[in-house]
Amino acid sequence: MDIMQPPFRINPEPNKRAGFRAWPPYPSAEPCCEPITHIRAKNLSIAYQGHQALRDVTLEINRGCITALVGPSGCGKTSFLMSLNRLTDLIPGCQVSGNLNINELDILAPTTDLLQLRRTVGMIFQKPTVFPFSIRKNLELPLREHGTHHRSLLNSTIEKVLQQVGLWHEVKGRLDHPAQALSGGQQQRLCLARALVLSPDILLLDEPCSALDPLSSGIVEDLIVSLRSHFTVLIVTHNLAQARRIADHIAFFWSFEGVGKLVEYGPAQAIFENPIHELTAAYISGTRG
Amino acid sequence: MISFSSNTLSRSRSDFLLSESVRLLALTAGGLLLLVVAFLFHESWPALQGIGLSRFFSDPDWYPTDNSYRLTSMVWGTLLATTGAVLFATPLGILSALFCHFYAPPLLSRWYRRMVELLAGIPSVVFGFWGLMVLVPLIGRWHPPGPSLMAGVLILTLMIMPTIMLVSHASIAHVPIAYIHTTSALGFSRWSMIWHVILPTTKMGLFTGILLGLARALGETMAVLMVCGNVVQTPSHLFDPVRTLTANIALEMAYALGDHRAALFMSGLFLMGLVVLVVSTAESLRHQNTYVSAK
Amino acid sequence: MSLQSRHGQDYCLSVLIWTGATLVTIPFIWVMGDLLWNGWDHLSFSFVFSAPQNAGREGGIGPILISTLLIVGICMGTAVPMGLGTALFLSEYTRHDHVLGRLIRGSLDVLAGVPSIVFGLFGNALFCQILGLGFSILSGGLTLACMVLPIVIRTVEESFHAISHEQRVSAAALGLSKTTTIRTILLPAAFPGLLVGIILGLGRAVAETAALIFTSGYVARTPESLMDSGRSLAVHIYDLAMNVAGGNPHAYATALVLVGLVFIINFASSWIAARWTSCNRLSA
Repeated sequence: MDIMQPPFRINPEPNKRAGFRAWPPYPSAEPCCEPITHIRAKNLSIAYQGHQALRDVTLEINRGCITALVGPSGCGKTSFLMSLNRLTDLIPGCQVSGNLNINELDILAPTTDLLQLRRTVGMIFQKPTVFPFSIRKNLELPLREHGTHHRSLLNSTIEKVLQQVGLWHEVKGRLDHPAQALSGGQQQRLCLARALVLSPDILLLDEPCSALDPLSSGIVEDLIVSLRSHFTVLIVTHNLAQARRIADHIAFFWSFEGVGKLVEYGPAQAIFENPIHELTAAYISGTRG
Repeated sequence: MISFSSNTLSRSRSDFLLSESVRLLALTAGGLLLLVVAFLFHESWPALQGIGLSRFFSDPDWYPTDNSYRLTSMVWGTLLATTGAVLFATPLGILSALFCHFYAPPLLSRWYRRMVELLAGIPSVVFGFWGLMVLVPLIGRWHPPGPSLMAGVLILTLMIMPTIMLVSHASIAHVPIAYIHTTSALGFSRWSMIWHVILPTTKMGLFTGILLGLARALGETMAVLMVCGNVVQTPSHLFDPVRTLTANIALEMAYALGDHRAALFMSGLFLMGLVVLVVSTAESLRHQNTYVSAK
Repeated sequence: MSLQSRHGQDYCLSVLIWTGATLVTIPFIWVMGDLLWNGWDHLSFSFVFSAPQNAGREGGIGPILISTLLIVGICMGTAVPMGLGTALFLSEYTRHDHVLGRLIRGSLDVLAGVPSIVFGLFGNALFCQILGLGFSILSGGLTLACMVLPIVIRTVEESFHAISHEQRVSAAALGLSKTTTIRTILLPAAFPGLLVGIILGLGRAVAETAALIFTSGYVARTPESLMDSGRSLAVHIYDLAMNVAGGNPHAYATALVLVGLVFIINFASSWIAARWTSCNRLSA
């Protein structure tokens, strides 16, 4: 292996990953953010076909925190999220510049193994996208792809993640039924389970509740809260009340003449009660945005 | 960790193999057209060199054994039969498409469309055979001898009508339902709606259908071969027997040698040029059409 | 314009349109009726499976069916892998507006319009003469493969495009490799489309005559190998009708078999397509 290139390791202690951590998680009221930087963006800019969508974002996200990205539509929140697992590569004409690191790993380096990166960075989308297979096959597919073929291991992992997302009791009798027959909220939780199956370090959630009815939305939200301190969670949301309920940190984006910029970043409480920037204050109070 | 990275390596290798092999297949498929053109050129080169282009129109007649290669009457045969078929099939095809959308009750409309699809699928040799057995004797009784330009026109009409109908049907289906609701709400009669709204908005689609039908008629071989009589002459009226370019190739290819064979390839090349022109016009119109409707 | 004249206009158009529809229906019924009327009596088990005798005036079409099957088999065996690969390349490996993709698509569009007799000429020059395969089932099958390739590619590519983009993005977000995504998610989802493409190509191949007369030839014996000349059903009808006096009754019966085959193929493809769209609607 090239000496200049550190070996690919996102998790500093891989052995700890062998089993899942204690579950259920800590009560959400307890302080949970380890003050250890997990993700570091420096002067990150994203352009689509030469048109800037996001300019000069610099921020550090702590391990185990829930960080909410808020702001009006089209200010580059989703672009930022997608650059973290290099899904931006799939968008024609999309260029990402600047520095982006997870621990020591340089995400944007051309030598980065994308498949491994995406294994450690899970992502959930606005619209639940289950594959047109059975529930079991949806969960098995990523496991098999990443080298797990043992039947009993597969089964136990599937049970574990379904328990984590609270689906186990609802679907344990029909694991071989098509996943598309589940309700929207169940599908979204299945998608979350499918991401958890690979035991990622980081979870990216792109408006995970906006396509769901209020009841399912509440269930998924509780679920996200329960992930705190187990995963580093980044969530894009348009729902300020939700951000206030669940987030430890808030990153507030705004679009300046079509170019997204990070306006303010800090602990949730500070942002909501004592915003520094006047745009943030206006957005939070509902007078703008 | 080691097993993991080797796994990754084999995956990237299989990714590489797959992408390279599909690229190769795609390039082969895309290059096929060039290959066809190249071969037609290669085989007709002796004719272009030895006989020269002008003699195909200035020689006294088509007597390949006597070194006389006039194609004019066959070109006329092809053009007349095609034009006649397009003239008959266009109104029938468009009327049928309108019938399906606005006049037939739902069940009948489904059955009718199904029938036209089946009609489109009937092999040309079967059409030719039916024409030979039924149509030609019928025409013969009315206007001897029977095998004639007329028979060719009728059979071709039957064969390209489904193409025109199905393309028109699809493009009418793309008219936004709001247009139809709006015109109905304005108290338009069905006739005004079709004449002032449906036909203008689907103009390009209908034209595409006609061009595709035209291309099919130009290239059709077996059916016209079986009903047209195949006499090499420029027809003076509808009931004269004619020979088309395609029929000429099919009839003489089996024994053609040397310059004769090259001349047949030359006529194939000419035919292909004609069809490529028509098809690419149709395709560009189709794209233009989707652009307009997308706006 | 007065209300009355508008109603009159409307009425005239109705009459015109119903007349047009009738004019189309009559020949269809006439063709089918004629085939059934004259062909049904000669159709029997032994006709389908026995060998032709006396140039096809007697006997059956057994060897011809075998030749047809072999020709179509070679055609699809070549066209389907090539079509699938090309469709994959066009939909998964190039962007929609990419120059190479547009060139390949454009050339395939034109290829789809090339007359079958021109394919016959091409096949005769390339396969029969230059590659030295002679008048053989192999030459005929390969010629037909070139002809049906654009149809297969277009249908399969459309079915790849019908798969939602989110599925691909989700698969990538899970770290699935491209090969795995194609194998486990895209191919199963596109399978009905592939089937429709195969069936459409099959229908075109079975119906073809002009491209086969001087590539696979006329010989009506049971072929012993793929290098033998073999006569397809469509060529048999042509030969009986044009070159064999008194061959008409059996030509009718053969035409009935051929049209039956084409109709079955046609129904199968629309059945699959309909089931497929209804499934898609269910899942959406």
